[in-house]
Amino acid sequence: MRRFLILLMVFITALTPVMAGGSSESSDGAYPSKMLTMIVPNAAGGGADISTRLLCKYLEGELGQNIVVQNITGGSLTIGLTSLSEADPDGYTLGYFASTNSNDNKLFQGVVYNADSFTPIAMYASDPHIIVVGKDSGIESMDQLLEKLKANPGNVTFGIGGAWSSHDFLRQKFEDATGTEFLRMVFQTGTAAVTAVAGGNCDVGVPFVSEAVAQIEAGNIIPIAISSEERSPLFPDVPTLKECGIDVVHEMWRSINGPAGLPEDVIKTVSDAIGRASANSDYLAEAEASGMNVSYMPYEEFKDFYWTNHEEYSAMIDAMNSGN
Amino acid sequence: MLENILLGIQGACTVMNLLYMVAGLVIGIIFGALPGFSATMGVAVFVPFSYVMEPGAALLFLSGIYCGGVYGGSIPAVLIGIPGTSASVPTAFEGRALVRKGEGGHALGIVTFASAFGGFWSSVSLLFFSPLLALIALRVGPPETMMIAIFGLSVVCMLSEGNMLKGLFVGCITLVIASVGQDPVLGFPRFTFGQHELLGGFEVVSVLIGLFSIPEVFKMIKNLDDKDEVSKIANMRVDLKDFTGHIGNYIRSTIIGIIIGVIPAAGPDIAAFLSYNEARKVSKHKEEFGNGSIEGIIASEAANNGVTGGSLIPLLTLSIPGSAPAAIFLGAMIIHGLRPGPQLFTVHAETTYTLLIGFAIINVLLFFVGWIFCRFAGKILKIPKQILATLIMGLCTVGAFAISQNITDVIVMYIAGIFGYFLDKYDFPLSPIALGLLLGPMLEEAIMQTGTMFRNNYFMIFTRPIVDVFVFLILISFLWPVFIKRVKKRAEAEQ
Repeated sequence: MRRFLILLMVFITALTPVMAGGSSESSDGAYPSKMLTMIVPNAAGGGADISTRLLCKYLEGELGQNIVVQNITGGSLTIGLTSLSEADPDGYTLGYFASTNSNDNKLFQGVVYNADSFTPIAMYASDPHIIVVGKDSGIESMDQLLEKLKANPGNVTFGIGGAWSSHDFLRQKFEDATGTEFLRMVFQTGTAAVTAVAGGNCDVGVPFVSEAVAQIEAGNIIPIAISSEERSPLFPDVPTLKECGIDVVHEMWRSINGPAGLPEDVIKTVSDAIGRASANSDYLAEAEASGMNVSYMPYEEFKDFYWTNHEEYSAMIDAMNSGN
Repeated sequence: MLENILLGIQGACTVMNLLYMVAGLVIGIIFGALPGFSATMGVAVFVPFSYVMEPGAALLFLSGIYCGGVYGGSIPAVLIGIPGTSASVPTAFEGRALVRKGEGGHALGIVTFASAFGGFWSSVSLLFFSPLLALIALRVGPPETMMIAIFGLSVVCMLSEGNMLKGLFVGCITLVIASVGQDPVLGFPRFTFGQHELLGGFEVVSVLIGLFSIPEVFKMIKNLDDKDEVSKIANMRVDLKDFTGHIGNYIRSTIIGIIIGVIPAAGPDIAAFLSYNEARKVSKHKEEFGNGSIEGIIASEAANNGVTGGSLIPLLTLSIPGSAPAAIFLGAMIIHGLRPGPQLFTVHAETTYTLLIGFAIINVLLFFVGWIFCRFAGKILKIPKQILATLIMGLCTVGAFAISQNITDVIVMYIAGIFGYFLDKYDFPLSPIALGLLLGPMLEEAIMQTGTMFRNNYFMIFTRPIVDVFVFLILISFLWPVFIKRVKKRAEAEQ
């Protein structure tokens, strides 16, 4: 019994720093002078979590301070982002942010933050979608898919990893650009959608490259196009949507943001540090192995991009809402 | 293949790796055993630690946590009737009754043996039949998932036997509760009352922590000076008879575990319930179920640990995680540069086979580590109830918070607990709630997807052979008791 209690105490003590986040140290001197907290609104082990942890590993070296990654999950990512928006803008609490999040207040009732509640710092990654079809679908190229779509409007199923996800927005852009219409088939994750395509239960899927590699290599699905500006080094034979004559570029970008009102020097320091990390060959090698697409955009560019992107999605959401 | 296996044995059997496996098991068992903490959480907390290890060692360490966590949940389930994780709920029905009979040691022995048995054979299937079994993951589309969910919900009837009305009532209400949150298709928030915290629905794990722990804690406080309370578990033992007499049960339960493991939507908890249900159906001693049935424990334990290896099958071959901890496992693999897929077994054969062989070794070690752990854990029966109750409440609070580090989950946990206490007091069974919460969202999603697939012509599902099999099984499971009753009545009438 005593041993059990000791075990318990050790266990709880061991866990405390993980839960409580950073302890404070002297606050004078240049930023950063103490441990940073990085809020990830997604669960541990997913794409968002992995990419943030990988970045933080190298960011620690650049900033000279430890970074504690804290997964605050739930409420369709809105709980973690709410905590980020409410954090002190002193630069010691930063967080993961992705392309659609600045419009959350438009998507979900009760969300108290909006695009103004955050300070965009820098984009560090951007994942293209790969358009795939099942191996028994009889489709082998984008032309054949478009043909089938035009022959059966609204009758070709399009698997997406959740309502209002990046997959869903790509579908909207694709339909607008080609004048076609899909039948939405909604799954909880991108992986589940790919599985359905591989099993012949869904016609088209648009997973991130990392979600699809295993199934493509196993020969269960055929990639027919990629949604990035340029071809993917992993699949050099797969054309981009633009090459297929469809004027759509769509990537889900990931950035590090802070709460609104972050001081200029903090923004600069973090943005530059991300820039230096993104030039580190060890980081690039690890990122490539994990299937993450490093794409650094410094603060000067990113702050404008953040707002252009915000407006673009905002308009798309309005169109989708009025269409339904 | 043989060469790779030898390579794997060599890789797994280094001193450091064996130590990592034992360390993983100990951590996993503790996570599983503490009410409020789970295997998923254990793997999630230790994923960052594994980043600095060698890939092989990291995966073995996490596998240890995973297997240990699934097993550990059953220890408090037996000792104090509080399942450490939802996969041990069926074990809790039987284990507590056995402790009262003074057979606690025997119960823990069987839990340990059945878990190791299920886990070991599941890792053997992972090693030899991966490509074959991975096909199941592809064959199981939305219509099949829908039937599995319905089949799983039919277990509610068994769980509420003798109390049918209340059981079905609780089950139906739970399905409504399970629909809180974002609508899966249109993304519209349902029953969230403008609270963005509820967009993802109620956190199932925190509801279950509250539901199964708090009523027991209240009961403990109420019966502080209960003279009948046993404070010893007696000797830990497993007899040869416990194995030879139930060999069919072991095999059936392990197979159910492996298959449920392979299927992406269902995890160890659903495997335990289904297998427990099947064991009861074929049992010659139905009356023992609920009053300390060894068969029930074997079924639930062999099945929930059978899931562990099974859930890695679609993960390693096709990058489809077969359970929640497996999803986190995927993250750890990716960060170590091991991308699932065919090349895992060729380019990364050394690490992969180290993992596969190590997984089998872990399940053998599980038996010994678990055995030692149980002997210490048995002492918690000696802890004064006041202290034990306080400890459990503290753990539940921390556990509910740790799931996603947000306070809403803690509030949900307490509310669920208070509801649970009153439901229990007025004889409403609690386990249908667990099933409803686990299966409700799965069922809804599958129904919507099936509708999309067949353009809302639901009769089309009968064109799928696996669906037909399930329809047949469901019909049998509902009609069999009625049929048996008829036959018995006729036999009596003739006499």
